[in-house]
Amino acid sequence: MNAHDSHSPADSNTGPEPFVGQSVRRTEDLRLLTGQGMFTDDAVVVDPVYCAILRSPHAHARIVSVDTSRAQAMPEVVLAISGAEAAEHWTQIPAGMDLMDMKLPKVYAIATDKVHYEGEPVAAVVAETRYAAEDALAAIDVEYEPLPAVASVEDALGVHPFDAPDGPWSPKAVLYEEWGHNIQCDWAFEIGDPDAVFASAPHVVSCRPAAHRYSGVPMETRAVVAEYDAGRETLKMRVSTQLPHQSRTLIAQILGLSEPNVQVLADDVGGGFGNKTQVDAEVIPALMAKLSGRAVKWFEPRGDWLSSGPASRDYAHHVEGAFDNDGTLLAIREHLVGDEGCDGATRSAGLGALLVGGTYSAGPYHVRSYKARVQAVVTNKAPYGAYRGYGKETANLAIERLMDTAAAKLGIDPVAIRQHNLVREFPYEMAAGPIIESGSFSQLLDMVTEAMDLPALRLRQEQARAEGRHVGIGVISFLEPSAGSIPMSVFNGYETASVRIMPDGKAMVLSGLQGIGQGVETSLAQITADRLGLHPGDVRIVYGDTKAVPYGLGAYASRGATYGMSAVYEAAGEVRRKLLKAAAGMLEVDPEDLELGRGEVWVAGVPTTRLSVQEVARAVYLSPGPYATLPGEESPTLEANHVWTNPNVSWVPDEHGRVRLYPTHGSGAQGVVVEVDVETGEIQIEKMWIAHDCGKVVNPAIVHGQIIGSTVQGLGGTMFEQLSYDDQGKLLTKTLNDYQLPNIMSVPPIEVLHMETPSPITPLGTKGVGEGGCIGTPAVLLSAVEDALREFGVTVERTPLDPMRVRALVRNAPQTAPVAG
Amino acid sequence: MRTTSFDYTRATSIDEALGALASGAQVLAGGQSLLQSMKLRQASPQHLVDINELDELRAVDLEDGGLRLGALTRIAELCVIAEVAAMFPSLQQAAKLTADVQVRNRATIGGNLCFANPRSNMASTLISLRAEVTVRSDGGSRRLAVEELFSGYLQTVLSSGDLLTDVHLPDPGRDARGAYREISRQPNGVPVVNVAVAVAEGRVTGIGVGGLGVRPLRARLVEEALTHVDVNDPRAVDEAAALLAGDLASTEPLSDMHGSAEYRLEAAVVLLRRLVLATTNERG
Repeated sequence: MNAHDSHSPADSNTGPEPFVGQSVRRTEDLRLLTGQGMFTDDAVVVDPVYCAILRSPHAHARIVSVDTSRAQAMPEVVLAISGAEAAEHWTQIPAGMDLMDMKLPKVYAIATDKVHYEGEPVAAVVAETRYAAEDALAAIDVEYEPLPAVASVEDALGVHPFDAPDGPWSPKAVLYEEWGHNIQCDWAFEIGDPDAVFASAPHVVSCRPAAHRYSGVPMETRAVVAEYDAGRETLKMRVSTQLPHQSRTLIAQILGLSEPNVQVLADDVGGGFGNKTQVDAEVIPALMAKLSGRAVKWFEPRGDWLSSGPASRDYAHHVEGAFDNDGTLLAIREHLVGDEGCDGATRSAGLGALLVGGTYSAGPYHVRSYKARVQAVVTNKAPYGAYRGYGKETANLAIERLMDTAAAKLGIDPVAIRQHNLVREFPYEMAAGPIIESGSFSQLLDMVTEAMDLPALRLRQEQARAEGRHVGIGVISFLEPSAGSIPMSVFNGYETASVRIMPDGKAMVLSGLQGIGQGVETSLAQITADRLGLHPGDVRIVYGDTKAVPYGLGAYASRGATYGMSAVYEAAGEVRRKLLKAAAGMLEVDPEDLELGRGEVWVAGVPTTRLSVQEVARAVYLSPGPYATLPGEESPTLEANHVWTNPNVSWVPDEHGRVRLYPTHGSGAQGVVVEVDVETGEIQIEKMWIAHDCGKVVNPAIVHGQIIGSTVQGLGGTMFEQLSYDDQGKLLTKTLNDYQLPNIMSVPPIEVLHMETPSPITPLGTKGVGEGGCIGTPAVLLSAVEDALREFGVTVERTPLDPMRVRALVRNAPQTAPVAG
Repeated sequence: MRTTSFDYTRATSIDEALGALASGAQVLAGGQSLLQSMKLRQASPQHLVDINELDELRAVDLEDGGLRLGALTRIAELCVIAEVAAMFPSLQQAAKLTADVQVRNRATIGGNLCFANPRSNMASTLISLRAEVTVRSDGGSRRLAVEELFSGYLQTVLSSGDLLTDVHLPDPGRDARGAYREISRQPNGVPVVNVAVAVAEGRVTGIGVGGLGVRPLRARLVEEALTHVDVNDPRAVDEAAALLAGDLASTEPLSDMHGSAEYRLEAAVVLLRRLVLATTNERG
């Protein structure tokens, strides 16, 4: 029994302790931990066939011919189809976003005339068994005419844009002939006359942070179970997706089906991380179901995820900062060049990450002059998708490396220069446009340095150096914009909720959010329970069924705590109003005199004059019914819908070209202690600290888990994970043996500290949470490693931090330091 | 992914296994490497002979002051067998760093050697311990040193009818010590390079190096040089360790995204120097 249950209504006149703010145990965990989850492939369907996809072995090639006849003749094969054959039955993939003059490839889910990356689908089969389906792939004869592979930005443009921002370009080959070049988007804006500020600034520092290509690796890869009913012309699909509603829209459009005839179901999703925010290969099993008349199961092999999954990072960033003598940041100029692979807007949604990187490079610091240029370049690698961080880690690495560089050059303590520049007054309109609605940046940095006992660590560091050991300390701040809302895209800015109390007094919430492991079933139930005076266990959260739930936008950009929770809060508030009104009528008092909690409503100060919520609900719906209980109400049952939007989002570029895509801003600070073996390049991470502020915390245990999880993913990406290609665009990391995910032994102790600075724009004060560790961890690790190698005079600005690269920094260092024996 | 179809024989005797091998079957031991490559369709054997029922391949016996390990000895067993801990601590260190616990529970010492991964923890450590293997075939049996087992990248000198049945660890000598160290992206990951050193009576008796060449190496030139120098002198040990470059000359260097040939050699020399200094200067 928890503290809440032990109270009785008579204990207090102010009502019971709210569930919001408590570590309510996650509703979903019992089924997940006991193997009762319903992931896509768990679905049992009648007489299924299995889909397998033939993928291109070439990074760039023209398809001369595809012959499926040998495969089609195999005994267990039901259907084999080429891209050209499929093109007769579907449309090209509609773009998930279309803004800022971005170029959009015109491609089908199965390539027709050309392949643009190793792993692009060129044919598909369905067969009676998975074995037979995979056997059949070997019997599909494809003739390719290989084209020169564009494996890098230099290949794509002939010159790096840092050296010639406007060309002229001399591409090794052009991916999409109709573009005439390989730049998908070129976006620039400036404000506050930055060039003049730079020209007169006492100090100008610059750095070139760069990140390698990596991405999320969810336990459940892409998966679909599709059933087509030819009589009704309906398609029922289970999809492992973060966006069930937009998936339905896009799939219906691609297949030419009426949207109401398509149902997308996503019960348990085995990992999202932003990776499952597109419709690409998912439509292939749907078409196969329509053409074969059989239920089709498709479960993507791990190697296919790695070769075709939406990849991330893979950029180079040139950042300059103008500083005054006292360390005041005066202006930022940045140039971000992203290697998107073959596409970041149609097949998947990574392009926006580069725009975010180019918008938020001031981080949590005050600056009034800002100039950004972002170039998104296409190459013959897998598509560029969303992944936890979504450019916010790019921005953070840039500004934090800049702060460290400036601190060293100006002889200012690295923590002091940050404190000097942190934004302290809110709301704060950033030079680049977004409005940071609230925050406690300076206090967060204090929290971290105090928890670290920074002076003691510095002393230990000196002692270690005297012994020839290289200990490094990193301290950074980070900004965590959340609830991304991109105009002209499937990632828009609203969320829906439908809340109802049923006649038995229990509540049902239909949310447009999507559960992907982040605990929305629990946190939304806590909010609803508080509003309706119920226990969270009496609130059923329904999502992931387009047939049941009003159109909503799902899970991406840490939007749940901003959009999803606020929609539920407001809808539940309307139900609460009607519940109290009905109860007031039944008790013959004013609604204002009533209190609500623990499933009951009672007269304040007279706890014996009470009704159960169930009694009120039954009265409203059935006995006697709404005419008696809610007379005059326009919608006289205990149900309400709400669509929540936000005024801090601005679609239309202003006169400087700026937009506001994130309404809420979490923040944090991080610290780390590392020791570098300068002879081998190995890094030992001793301990990490992270202070975090996501506004009002609904469930501390869930927030804690999000922070730890994102920190470990940030660490894995910075240290171990890598999608590596050779110079012919061939993927070198096709298994998890080579693409190394962080294991438990690689994770240092992580101390999490919390602060709550409520957001003034959400009704509960909540802000998004989930990406912070991914945003700050790369910067804090690079900062610490540079600190450890300070006597060598090296700059650490590129990832991954693997032993070979760290050793190369030392070997090629401008200064040499004595090494212990 | 799924495998192509294949025939499967569960051997009930070594002779039955050898018969199947002679007719073209491939050995299935722990399956931790072979089944992966079959599921990736990198390997598509027509016929597998499963040797897991052959109890004589699991025996662990004392033998001439050393130890005989049946080829089916699981890596997880090496982590806990008392004799291994007492006599060959480096082998236990290497075993504990091999893959994860699920893989160690199935993977076998014989299968690990026959897969011939140049970065194998087992191979370099067994080389340092001067281990030998028994190989049987229809024609009889032969013994060869572990370092002679490997012919190239993922290749051994064994022919299709051969079955590796035993690993022999010779008497480690008086006051024996040994140590294994690796550089990897992270613990339990595939090593970038690894080095194992065996020492008896304060002298180095064997050095094995993995991840440097396309096959695991015995560092004979370094071993030889160390017999002439004071192993307490870091500079002398460092100079001897640098001869590893000469040992590598016998094979093709390994180079990939995790480590260039240059880095691998440099790092292996560092590990080697540290291990020699640590093991020869230990006072037990």
